Amino acid sequence: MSPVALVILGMTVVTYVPRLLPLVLRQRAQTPPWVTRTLQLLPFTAIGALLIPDGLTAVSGDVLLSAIGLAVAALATWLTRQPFIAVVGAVLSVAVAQVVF
Amino acid sequence: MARGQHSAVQLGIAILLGYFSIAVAFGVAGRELGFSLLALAGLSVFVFAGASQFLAIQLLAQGVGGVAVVAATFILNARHIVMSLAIRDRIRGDQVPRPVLAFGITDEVFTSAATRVGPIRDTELLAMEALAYAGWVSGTIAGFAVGQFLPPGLEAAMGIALYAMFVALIVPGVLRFWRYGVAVAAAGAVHLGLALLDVPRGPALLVAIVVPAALFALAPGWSEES
Repeated sequence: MSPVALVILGMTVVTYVPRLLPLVLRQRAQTPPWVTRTLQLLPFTAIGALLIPDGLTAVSGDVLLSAIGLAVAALATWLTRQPFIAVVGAVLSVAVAQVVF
Repeated sequence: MARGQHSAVQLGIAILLGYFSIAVAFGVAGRELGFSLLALAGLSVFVFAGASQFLAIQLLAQGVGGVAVVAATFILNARHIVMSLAIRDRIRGDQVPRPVLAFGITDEVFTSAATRVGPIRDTELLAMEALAYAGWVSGTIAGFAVGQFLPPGLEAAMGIALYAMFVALIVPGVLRFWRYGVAVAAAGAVHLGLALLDVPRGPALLVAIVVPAALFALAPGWSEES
C-alpha cells in the first residue's frame, strides 16, 4: 500500500472506533468523571490550537482577511446554526474583501 | 414524530446541501495541495470526518509524518465518543446493524438528531446519514473536478474554509457553555506561545490541545452536566 493509503487506513480506524464503541458496548462503562470532562473539552482545545495562529494566516498569510472570514463564520453560525452557510459565507466574504482591501 | 418537527429526510437533505459545499472546498484544496482524486475520494469514502480530512491533507502537504497525522485525527475525532454515547439510548428499532449506524455519526448528523425531541428510529437515522454521506462524497469529487476552473481570488479565499468549519463546530458549544470559549482561547494562547518559541509544530499542537483540556477537566465546574 502507498503511504497515503496507510494514512487513510489509520485515520479510518481512529475515526470509526470512537463512533462505534458506545453503540455496541451495552454496559455503560464507568469512566472517571475527569476523563469524560477531558473528552468534552478536547474538541474545543483542539480547535483553539488550530485556529490560533494558523487560522489567522489562512488567506495567503493575510491576518485582516483571515480574521474577516472567521468573524463572518462565527456570526453566520450564531444566526443560522448551519455550518455550510458559515463556510460559504466566510469564503465569499473573503473573496469580496480581497477586492476591497 | 412529534408535531412540527422536521422529518429525518428534511434534516438529511439540509445536511447534504451543507456537506456538498464544504466537500467541494475540500476537493479544491486537496487538488491544490497536489493530492490525487483517488486519495481525496478515499478519505471522504472511508474516514467521513470533514475537519480531520482538511487537517490531514494540510499536514501531509507540510511533510508531517503519517503517525502524527493519524494521532491528530484521533484527537480531533475522539469527540464522537461523547456523541455516540449521547444518542445511543434514543435510537429505537433493530432493522439497522449498529456498526453501520456508527459509521455515519458526524457532528451535523448528531446535532440534527439531538435537537429533535424524543426517540429516533434507526431507519430514520440511517436515512439522515446516507444523505449526508452522499453529499460529502459527491462534493469531494465535484470539487476536484471544478478546481482547475476556479478564479485565483476564489481559490485563495477557500483557504479560510477549514477554519470557518472549525468556528462553526465550536460556536454552538461556546454559546451553550461559556467556559468552552475559555478553553478555546487558552489552547490558542498556548499554541501561539509555543510557536513563537520555535517549538516544532507537532509537539506544540499536542501540548496546546491536551494540557489545557486535562487541567480544566481537573478543576470543578468545568463539566457541562454539573
